[in-house]
Amino acid sequence: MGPVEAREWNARSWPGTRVTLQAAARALALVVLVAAIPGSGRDTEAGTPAGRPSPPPTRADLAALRRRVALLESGLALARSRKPYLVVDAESRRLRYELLGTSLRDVPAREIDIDGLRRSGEGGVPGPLSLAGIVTLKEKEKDPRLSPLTPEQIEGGAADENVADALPPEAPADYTLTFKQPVVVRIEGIPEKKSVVSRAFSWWPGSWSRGEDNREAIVLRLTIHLDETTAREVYRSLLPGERLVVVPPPGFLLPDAGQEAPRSIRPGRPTKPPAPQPGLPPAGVPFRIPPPVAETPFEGAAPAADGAAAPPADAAPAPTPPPADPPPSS
Amino acid sequence: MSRMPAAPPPSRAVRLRRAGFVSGTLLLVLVLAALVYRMHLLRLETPPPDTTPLTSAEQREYRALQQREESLSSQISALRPAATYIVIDTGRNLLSLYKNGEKVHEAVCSTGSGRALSDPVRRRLWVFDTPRGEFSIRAKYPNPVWVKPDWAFLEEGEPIPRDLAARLAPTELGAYAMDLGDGYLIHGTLYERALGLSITHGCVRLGDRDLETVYKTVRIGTPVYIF
Repeated sequence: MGPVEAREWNARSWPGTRVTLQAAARALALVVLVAAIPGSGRDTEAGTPAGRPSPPPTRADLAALRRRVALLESGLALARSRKPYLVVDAESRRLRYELLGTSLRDVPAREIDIDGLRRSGEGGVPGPLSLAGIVTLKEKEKDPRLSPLTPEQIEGGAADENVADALPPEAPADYTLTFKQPVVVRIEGIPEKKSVVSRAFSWWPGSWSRGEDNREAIVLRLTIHLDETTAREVYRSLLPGERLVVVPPPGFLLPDAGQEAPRSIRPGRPTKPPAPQPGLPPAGVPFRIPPPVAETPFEGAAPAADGAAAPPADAAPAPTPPPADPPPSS
Repeated sequence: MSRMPAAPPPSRAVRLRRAGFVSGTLLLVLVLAALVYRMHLLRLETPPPDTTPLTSAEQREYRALQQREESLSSQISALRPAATYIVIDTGRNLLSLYKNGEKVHEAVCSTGSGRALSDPVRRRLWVFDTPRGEFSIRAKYPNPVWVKPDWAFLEEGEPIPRDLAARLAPTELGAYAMDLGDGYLIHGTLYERALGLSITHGCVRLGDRDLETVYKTVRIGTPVYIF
């Protein structure tokens, strides 16, 4: 299409205008020329315009990359275990619940204090275990499972006839987590509404409690300050045996606290989809019917309705054998 | 030339007041010093980033780490759940239903209390935790009937019945139940006011409407992730 045709097209579309496509093309060429002048215009988001070589990586970039790779190595091993784990990231001051590499919950921490860190640069290239350490939870302070109730205790406190339905005690907001490794995590829940005086002295109880455990044996000690409600939620969600990944802040390394190597974590088996059921289950049939009590010893294990965990093998009688008429769930 | 009379010595009360003022001020200074020590001196300060260019050996390490990072990221991505799945947060007592990575429904639920019950007579122990990890819907039941286990009677201080009929509780589990395996269920409840509390014996309880929504959305084999 020549300029004449363009002018005609313009004249037909907007009568009276003198702007032609040729002029527009000239303006466009000028804009391109100006943009091509070095230093003009704005850089892209990455800081390097297209075609320009990126600045060479520095030691800080290398250190950051080492940290990311160490965290990914730990994350992959824990994702393959198919169990949930908690990442304590001191750099971003966040706790992250993850499972199968997916972040399930992100919890901001008010503050994370760590005692026992080393400065990076001491002792050459840092190992991956000093950049992201995996530790296994051994015990929660005030854990109700440590003091099981007995039927007598329940009966003894049964002034209220609904005692069996009584609410369990509220999860604590301040507690200590101990690990299989010489690591201690102290969670301190900060009340949402707090007076100036109590805020000023909030560090006091934490300082005293530090003397309770065997201070010399502990290599790494974390104090995580969370909102009170969040601290209780974290308490409820953590079970002994679960793993934490501790990520130190930049410029610091974890000490050798016996953290687990990612390769030592056993991969879990993916859950198999159940076999298709033959036909529809008859309505109203219990999901699991124990055999008649007369056929099994009285102390036979109860059917596992409402999800009670199976009792320990040494203390428990044999589980109830499946009924003759298989339930729809089997 | 007149001389001013000597001032009388301060009374005992005045001296006590002065001493109190001085010691109070000292105490305040000490507390402030302790606060400053706690809040500033003990804090770790992040060192400034090292902007030194990499040596050739470090550059090789950098490139190798970049490749490793890509490889690890893709391996983790391959594990991530897709399609329809359920996430249960035992800390907040929340059940979330996801479709293609997007949350389509959220419901308040109740999960395990974490309490333990022992039966010293028969040396049995139950821990009422909701299990954590990856599960799947193994079966779906309309109108489920609960067969009360021994602990339900022990908790209520009742004798354990020998008769099966005495164990059946036809309305306890609500209109639907979904089996997660090992006796753990997602089911309804008669006590909707207690939803949001960690109060169950390990199962996951939902309100009637949420239970119906979840029941009708999931299929046998739908993954359930509990943390």
